[in-house]
Amino acid sequence: MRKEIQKMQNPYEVLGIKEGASIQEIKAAYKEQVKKYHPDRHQDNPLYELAEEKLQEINEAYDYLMKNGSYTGGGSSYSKEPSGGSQPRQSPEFRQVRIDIDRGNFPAAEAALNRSKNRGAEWFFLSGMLSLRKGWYDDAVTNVQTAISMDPNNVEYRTAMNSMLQTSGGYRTNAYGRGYGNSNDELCRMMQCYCCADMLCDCI
Amino acid sequence: MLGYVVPDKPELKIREFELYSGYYCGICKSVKHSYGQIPRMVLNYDFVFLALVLSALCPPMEKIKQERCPIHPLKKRTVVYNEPAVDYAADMMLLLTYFKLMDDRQDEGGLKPAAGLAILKPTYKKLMKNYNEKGIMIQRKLNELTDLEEQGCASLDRAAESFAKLMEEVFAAETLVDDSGTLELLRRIGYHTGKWIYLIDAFDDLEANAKSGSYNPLLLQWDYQAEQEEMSNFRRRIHERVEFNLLFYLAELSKAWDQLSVARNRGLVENIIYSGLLRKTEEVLEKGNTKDAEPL
Repeated sequence: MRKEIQKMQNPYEVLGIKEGASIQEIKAAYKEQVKKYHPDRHQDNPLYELAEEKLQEINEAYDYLMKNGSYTGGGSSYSKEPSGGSQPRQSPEFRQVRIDIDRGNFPAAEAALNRSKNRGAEWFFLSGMLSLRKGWYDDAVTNVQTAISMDPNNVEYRTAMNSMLQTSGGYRTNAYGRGYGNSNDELCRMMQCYCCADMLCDCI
Repeated sequence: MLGYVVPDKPELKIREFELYSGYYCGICKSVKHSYGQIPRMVLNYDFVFLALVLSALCPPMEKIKQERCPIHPLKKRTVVYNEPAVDYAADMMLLLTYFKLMDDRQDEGGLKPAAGLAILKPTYKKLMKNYNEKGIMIQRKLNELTDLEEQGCASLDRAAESFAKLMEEVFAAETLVDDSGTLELLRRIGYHTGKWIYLIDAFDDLEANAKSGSYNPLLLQWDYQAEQEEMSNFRRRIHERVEFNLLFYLAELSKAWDQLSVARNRGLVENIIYSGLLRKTEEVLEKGNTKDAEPL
C-alpha cells in the first residue's frame, strides 16, 4: 500500500484531452490510446514494458474520470490538492478494528464497528475495508466514497479507492496484455456472429 | 448457473475447441452412465468450466474418443472419458438442477417441476449419498437465497452472497483435491464466479423483472421507479458501478487462477477467464445502449 501513495497524474493529460471533456470524448480518447499502447503492437520490442506501464496509466486515468470526473465535475479538484495531502487521521478507538481486519478476524471487526457510535469518515472507511476483504466490493466502494466525501483530503482513503479502481481496471489490461484484444473492428464482429451461429449448430 | 460462462470461440485453437466440446459431451455421457438417459436434458456450459478448472489440477488420465450419439447422429464427436473432474461436474449439475426444481415447485407449483422432481428422485438419492455434507450446504445456501428474495433484500452484495457461497461449495471439490491451499483458491474462484453470474444475470434481466415485478436487487438498491424513469436511463445510471463490480470479480477470479499450479488445459481455461467472460461482460453491459440506438 505504501508505494501507491505517490500522486496520481492528471487523468485528462494522460488521455490527451482538455479538462471537462464529455464522456464521449473521454471514451473516444481512451479507445485511441489503448490501441496505441496495446502490448500486442509492441511484442518483441524494447518498448513493450513502457507500453504496458503507459496502458496501466491510461486505464487508471479512464477509470478515475468515469468514476469521478464526469458527474461531480471534480476533475480539477484533485489538481488543487496540497502536495502531500493531509496526514492519515487514525483514531485510537479503531486501532483494534484495523488489526482485526488485517488478520482476517471479520466478525470481531464487524461487531466493534456496529458498537461504535463515532460514525465519522474513518468509520465508513473501515467498514469499506471490511467489505472489501469479505468480497463485498459494491459495499466497499460506497463506504469508501462516503469516507472521502466526509474527509476529501485524506490520502489513505483516496489511495484505497484508487487501488480498488485499479484492480477492476487491471483485469482488462491483463486480458489485453494476453492478446485478447477488444474486438472493435467489423471483421472481428462478423466472425463472432458466424462463430456463435456455428456454435449453436455444433454443440447443442 | 445459466450458461454465461463460455469460451471466446474465435480465439480458441481448433484443438482447444475440440477438447472443449469433448468435455461438454463428456459431462453428458457421464450423466447417462451414472443416472440413465433422462437427466441429460439439463446440460449447461457453466459446468464445462467447472470440469476444466478441476481437471487442470489433476494428473491426466482421461481417454478421448470419437463417437456418435443419438442427439448428434450425423457427425462423430470428441468425448472425454475417464476424467474424474467431468464426473464431479456432472454430479454437481444434477444436484443443483434438483434443488432448482424444488424451488420452482414451491414458487409456481404446477406439473412441470413436480414431474422433473419425480424423474430425478432416484438420481438425487444417489447423489446425496455421495455428497451428503456438500448437498446439505448447497441446499442451505439456496434456502437463504430464497429468503432474501422474499424479504426483498435491497443490497446487491448481500443478495449475491448466498449464491456466491453456493458456487464456492461447488468448486471446492474435496473428492478430487486434498491440498488445503488449492482448495482455498478453488473456493475463491467459485465465489467470484458466483458473484459474476449473479450480477450479470440480474443486469441482463432488468427489463423482464421490472415488467413482471419480480425480485431484482439492482432495481431496489438503485431505486428504480417505473413511472419516473426509462429503463435505458436506469441502465445508464448504474452502468459504471455494475461494470466496476463485474470486472472486480473477474480480476479476483483470475488472480486466484494464476496462483494455482496448473498441469493442463491452461489455454482453454484462460480463454474463458480472460476473453470469454470479458466479452460476455461487455456484451451484457452494452445491451441497453444498442437497443437505444435502434429507433434512430
